[in-house]
Amino acid sequence: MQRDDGAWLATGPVPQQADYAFAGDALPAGVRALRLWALPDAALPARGPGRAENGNFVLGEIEVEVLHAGQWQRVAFASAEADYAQPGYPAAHAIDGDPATGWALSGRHEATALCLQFAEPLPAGPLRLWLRQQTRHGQHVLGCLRMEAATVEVAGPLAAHRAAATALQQYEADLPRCMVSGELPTPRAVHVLARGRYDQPGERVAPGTPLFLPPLPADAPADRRGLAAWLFAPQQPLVARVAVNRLWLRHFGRGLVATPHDFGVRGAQPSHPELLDWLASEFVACGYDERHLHRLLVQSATYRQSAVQDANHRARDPDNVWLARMPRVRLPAEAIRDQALAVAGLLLERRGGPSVRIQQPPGIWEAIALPGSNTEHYAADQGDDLRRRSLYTFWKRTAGPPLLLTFDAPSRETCVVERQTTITPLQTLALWNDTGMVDAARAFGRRLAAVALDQDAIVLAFRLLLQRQPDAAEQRVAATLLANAGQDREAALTLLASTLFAHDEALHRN
Amino acid sequence: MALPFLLDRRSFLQRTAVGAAALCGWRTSGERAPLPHFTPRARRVVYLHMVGAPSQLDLFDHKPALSRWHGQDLPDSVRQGQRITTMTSGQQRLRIQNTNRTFAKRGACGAWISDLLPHLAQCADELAIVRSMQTDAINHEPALNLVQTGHELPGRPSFGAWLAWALGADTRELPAFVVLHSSWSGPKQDQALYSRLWGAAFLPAEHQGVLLRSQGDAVLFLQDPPEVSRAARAQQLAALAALHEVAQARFGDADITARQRQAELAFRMQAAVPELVDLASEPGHVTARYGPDVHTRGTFANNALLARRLLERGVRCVQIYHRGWDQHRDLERDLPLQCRDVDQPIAALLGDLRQRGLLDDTLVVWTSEFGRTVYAQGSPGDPHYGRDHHPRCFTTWLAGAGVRAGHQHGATDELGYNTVCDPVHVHDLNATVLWLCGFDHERLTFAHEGRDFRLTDVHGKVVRALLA
Repeated sequence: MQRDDGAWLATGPVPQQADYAFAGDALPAGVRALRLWALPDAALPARGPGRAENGNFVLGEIEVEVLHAGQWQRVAFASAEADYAQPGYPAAHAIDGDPATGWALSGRHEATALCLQFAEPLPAGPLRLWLRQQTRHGQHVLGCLRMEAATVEVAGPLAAHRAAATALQQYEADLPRCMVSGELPTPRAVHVLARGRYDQPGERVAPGTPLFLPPLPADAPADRRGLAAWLFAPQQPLVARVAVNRLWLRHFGRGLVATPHDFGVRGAQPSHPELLDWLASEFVACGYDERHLHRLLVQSATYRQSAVQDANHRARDPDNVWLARMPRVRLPAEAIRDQALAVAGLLLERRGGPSVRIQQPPGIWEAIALPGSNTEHYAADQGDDLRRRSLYTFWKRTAGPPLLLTFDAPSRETCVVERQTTITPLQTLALWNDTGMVDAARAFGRRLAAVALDQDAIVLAFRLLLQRQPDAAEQRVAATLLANAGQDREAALTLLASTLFAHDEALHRN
Repeated sequence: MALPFLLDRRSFLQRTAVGAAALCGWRTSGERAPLPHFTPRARRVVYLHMVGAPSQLDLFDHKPALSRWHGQDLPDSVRQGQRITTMTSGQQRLRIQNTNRTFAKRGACGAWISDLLPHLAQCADELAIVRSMQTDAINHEPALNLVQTGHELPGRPSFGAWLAWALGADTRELPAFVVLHSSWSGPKQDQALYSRLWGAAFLPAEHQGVLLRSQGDAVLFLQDPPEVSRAARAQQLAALAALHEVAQARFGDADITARQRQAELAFRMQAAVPELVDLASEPGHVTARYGPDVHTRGTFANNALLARRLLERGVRCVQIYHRGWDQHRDLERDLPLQCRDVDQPIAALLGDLRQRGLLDDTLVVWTSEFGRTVYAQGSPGDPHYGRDHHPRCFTTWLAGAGVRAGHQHGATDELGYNTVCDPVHVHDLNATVLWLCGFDHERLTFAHEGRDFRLTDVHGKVVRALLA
């Protein structure tokens, strides 16, 4: 049907593919360009302009014929340009003679113009025109469109526009990007899905807190801002308790509440309820300043205890609930790699910037990737980037970096409050044979080789990695290893370095 | 304090001493696995997953009526308003597509199997075929999660991780749960896989499936750098043992000794794994049985033989994935290629296990995440037609330990659209597999975030008819 503004709106069942044919009145001579508007309409899925579920379409090919001297003649195009094109679906695909490629607009639901320049000004006469949409995507056909013809030379202004647009695009492409969530102007209707089935919407539900907890503040919107207000309301005791318990967990390897993900009826009782409450009030009082709390914890007498345990400790408090000693806490995966880089003198502490693909064995991504996806093939970054903190590691959730996963880094597919701590043979293999760790051991070996005497090199190795002097027995063990390792001193010290990388003490805060 | 966190170290020591998974090493937190609830029929499991969903109508579910119905619309009385995927919901018509395969009754049991699986057909009497499988999900990812972890959403342990946690391994050189990915002959545009499918989720991480890789090192980080000799590694290990002894004396922490033991295991694995994947010790008549692809790493045939070698060495669960079965198009061209990848190797694996006496206590599961539709995907008369996803019925078979060999279970209607007899949900399949491994699926639980989790969620019934 035709809208009041003259635009054509497609109605009826949505076809998988469709060719649209248009026949126009006779035009004066000298038409140089044609403009096709793809327009939004409230009747279309996602407001269009296409009829696919997401409002997209793929215009495979445009063909124009003009009636001249009693003959329908095919018109040749000089160029096609659009206000916008989906990556991989440029405007030029609509006139490239290949119906399998096309122009599309995924995600854009505004009026968008496609400008087609003819190779020669047209003679006077009626036009007829086909929009070929034999798309393999199904239902990706135009929903609403309007056409305009122009006799003017439009190349000039368009060229200026094009230069400005290119500059803008370049500027925008250079900006760093990150994903943010925002509230929709009109919140989406959310339904309980019966037995989880997407085609069985049940009761419509609104944002809110679980009934056993206090409601959202009455004067706040029922969105993330309201949730933030609720979380940090002065009378809210739970958030600060949960937060300080997690900080405690990071420093002491075990929360004051041993179930940091569960403060509910099936969660554990706090071992030190008064301490938990005091820390929570301190956290609130200091304005939720994490640094203050970290400092408070690591400067405490409890934290500064020795990790040495004796039979008495083990017999009376095997899990060290009462903290008569400092627990030995395994370093997180990222810190294990960072530590190796640091002692080797490699660590680059530059802040910020894009993520880094660290070294990993071949075939990790390829074995499971979606063929053709942009994370099918892995190529490690080069040079300085490999010396940056593991914090900056690029992460593909379905196939994470194996070195870090081996040391219990979560896959990041679901939230993990408390990391597991395992001891596996793969960990020793990773410390010895991961390419990055091998490089770090070699650099560490070189650093040690700069020390003249083996005895001093051993002391340096222990001090850098274990933050203490070796005792006499350890000196002997290390010296024996060096003596048996052959003539190449740097290679021998590299062997000492990788041995110490696998030392349990190097993997823990002791 | 909650009970799971109160376990003392001694109980971990005991548990490790009785032979938890070799790769499992040590637990520093977590719940103790129960002992089997009854005598297991299956000591080990090999799980063959055809990712993408093979067409049961062209392989196992023989529907002679299709030749009569071919080209006609799927009656509403059959569809009953059930949802279909958006890949065909836009089609004007849902036309019944006949199969062009030839079916025959195979073996003494008379199981219907098509001509695309000639080798497997000869093993028909070993199989218990379930033609009435059902699932809840209609798309690959949730369906894969459901059949492998018991839940459509990610975040639950995989079937193999449950078994590894519950049973450990019978080996000190290899992990309890090993995963193999296979190359495939169909189109390469296929679904991705996800490590969570063999992940341990909230179970202790050491029970996750260990990928035996087909390129580079078979196990990650196995290969020492060129300048480090085996002898040098042995010296390092000796030095590490002495240093750990000093540290153990200083800190009194049993984890230090545990780490040393795992380091020594790593050293042994460096010898054991290359021996495992080297097929040179297999006699020619054995490799020939698996077909010509057996010597190419990463093929299904190669993986099938590796599976036998892993099971022989005490691995508890071997999962082989074979992708490429998602025939939305060109079913006529691609389904035979996919079948050729797996048919001979599966038959060889069954025969090989049988000959070695391993099939008596090894369970073999062949399945997918769902089935395919009786109606064609594509324009009418399109020679490149395919079939769409179909969760209402598909075919799975079991063989080996404790399985009622030759049993034909369940039935679908004359169009192979709905199940009409003895439906078996994927939860029921998982319950049955756990039963064969010695566990009551309702009692194999793990406490996590305030509730007890099971592989079968809150569902599942053991299918007694499938048991010998």
